[in-house]
Amino acid sequence: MLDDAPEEPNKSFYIFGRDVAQIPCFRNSFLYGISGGIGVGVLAFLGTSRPHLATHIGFGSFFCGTIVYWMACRYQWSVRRFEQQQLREAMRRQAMYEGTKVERELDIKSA
Amino acid sequence: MSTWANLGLQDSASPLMEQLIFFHDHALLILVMITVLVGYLMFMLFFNNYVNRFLLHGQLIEMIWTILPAIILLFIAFPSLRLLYLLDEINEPSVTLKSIGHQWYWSYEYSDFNNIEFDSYMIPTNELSTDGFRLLDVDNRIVLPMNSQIRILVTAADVIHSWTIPALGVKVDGTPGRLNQTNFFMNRPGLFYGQCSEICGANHSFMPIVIESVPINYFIKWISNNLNS
Repeated sequence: MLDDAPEEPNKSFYIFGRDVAQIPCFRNSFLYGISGGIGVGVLAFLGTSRPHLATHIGFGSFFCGTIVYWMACRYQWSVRRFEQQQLREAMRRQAMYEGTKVERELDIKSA
Repeated sequence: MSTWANLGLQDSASPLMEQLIFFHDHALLILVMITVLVGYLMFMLFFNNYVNRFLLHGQLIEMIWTILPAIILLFIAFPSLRLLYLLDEINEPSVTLKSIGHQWYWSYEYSDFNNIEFDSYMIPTNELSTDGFRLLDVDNRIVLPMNSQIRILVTAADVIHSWTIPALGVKVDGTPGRLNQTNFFMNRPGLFYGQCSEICGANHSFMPIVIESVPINYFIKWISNNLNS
């Protein structure tokens, strides 16, 4: 039954030999940035009927959207990663100290 | 290891190298976006109809293009400084390795273990086995335990050499009469290759470095085999 599960589509995208789709936050930053830029640019054109101004607004939205999303996403990813490492270390220590005097002392402290 | 036409960084084998790769991705995205912005501005010049022969100043735009780059630079500087200080943290190494550069080979000493010493020469191409890596394989690899802090002391016997392992993010110059120290930590087993990184004569390109990262019990077995032989 597990073999029948549909395989996830391969999302790799190579630039100069590096699969940039594997870089955390890269794919989403550009997807949101490009689509946001196009969307805001189209809306600006519908509102102003000035193609040059709409292009500038669209590009500015792409630039700001990509950079802002990247910064926020990378920060959150880095915080989550740190917490995952802390959890992994805590689980390793728990397995190491299980049944020992150190675990009993820690249980007394936390109680 | 590096294969032909390799442009990017090698896969990391050390938590510090992993952090360096993350910072590289972050800085490169900012640089790519700035390049795209400048390219867009230059492209838009083709469609410019404005002509002003009497343009003197523009306070607002000058403020914008001074403050905005400063803010962008802050977003590069903070992660960079964090990583810089992280690389300098003091750890408690469990193994110390001494590496001495010669023209044109490396010699290694494990002084913690009754002075195990050996030389490491590149295997010449005409003696290479069919599964060997040309200009990278050596006759005696450095065997080190994984998941342990390693201290390395690098020096040289004749001219300046440089001991490098890209996968670990380590590059240390070996200067005659000087001991340079660095620490590293390998979080996976495997073979990690490097090459001398300071011009040192005719065979500068032919004195590679190979680390064999093994579990600690294999390392202890290797040490005892070397002590007995």
